Amino acid sequence: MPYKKPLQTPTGKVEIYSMKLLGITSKAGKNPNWDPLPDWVPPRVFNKASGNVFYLTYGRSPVTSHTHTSDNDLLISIARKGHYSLWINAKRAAELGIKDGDLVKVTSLATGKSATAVAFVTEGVRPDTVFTVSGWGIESDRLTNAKKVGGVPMNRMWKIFEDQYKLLPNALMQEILVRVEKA
Amino acid sequence: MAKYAMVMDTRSCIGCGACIAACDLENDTEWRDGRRRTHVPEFFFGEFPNVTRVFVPRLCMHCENPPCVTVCPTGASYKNEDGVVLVHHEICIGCKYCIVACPYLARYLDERKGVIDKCTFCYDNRVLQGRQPACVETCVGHARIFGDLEDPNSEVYKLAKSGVAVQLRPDLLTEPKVFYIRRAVEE
Repeated sequence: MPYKKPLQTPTGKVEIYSMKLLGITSKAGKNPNWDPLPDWVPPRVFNKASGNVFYLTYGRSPVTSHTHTSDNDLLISIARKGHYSLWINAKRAAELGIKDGDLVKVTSLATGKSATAVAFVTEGVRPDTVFTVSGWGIESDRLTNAKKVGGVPMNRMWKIFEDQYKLLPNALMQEILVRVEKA
Repeated sequence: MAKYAMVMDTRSCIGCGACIAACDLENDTEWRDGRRRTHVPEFFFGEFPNVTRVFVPRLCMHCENPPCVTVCPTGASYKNEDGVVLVHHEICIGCKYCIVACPYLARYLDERKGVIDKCTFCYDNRVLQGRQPACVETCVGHARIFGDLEDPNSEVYKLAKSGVAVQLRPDLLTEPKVFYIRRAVEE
């Protein structure tokens, strides 16, 4: 019976207290990011969005699959406005004087780099958050069709912080603060 | 003899645009210039956090009393024996009178051929061979339902006759044969 076989862990059972992470704790020191008992870590950008500073989250467009289909002109032609723009809440956009279709400058507070994007003013996003679809290939001259459309190139927006280098494989790409201004 | 009709279930349309792409490739429309037979506009209702996003697939309504056919000066626009509104490309002179007359914005000028183009329910290329229109066959959410309005066993008959699916602008008395199932939205 499969459930009678021991799991391949030191205890043979499902572990919620990870011995591996305990080993790292003893070497690298205590840190909530690698607590042996999974812990809630407050997001790096918690409660820091105000004024023209927003949380930047990103997602995928249903009509493209990463760079694999980003240059397909038929798929680009059926993409909606929201698939290649920066979603911004209607009330916050009115406060900042941003209208639907305006060009906006998005500056990452983490890296200091900026990009331009088209604003999509909608009620479908949180007031403290802007959303974008990562702009696959829009910076490459060889992608002749994708070059025309633009999301926010996420590679300019995030970086791996030094205290994460030791262990974490992920770059916390949803924990970014950006300043949004009219371009 | 049939009376072909379509039901759009806006509750299950996810707005992926697969129907648009399938139509463009099946019927060789001028999609590169934005001239195509079907569109799926999106609408947002309500205020954050109670927001509903609705996709409304749009195409020719294949009206029982088509105003585009009435105004056509050459007789190129016609309704065939199966209730599908079509255009004879050999007779059409591209005068665009029908574009103005259509209350559902279903027609456009095909600039390569200089004639009016519109949705045909894929009549010649698929329906006559017993297949479903390209947009219906490719729909992932079963949001487009195609069938015969005179067949009491068909899904479109049941949805349209029970009142679940309704016509757009019935007050125009055009009797469209494309029906829509409403999605509840936040007020």
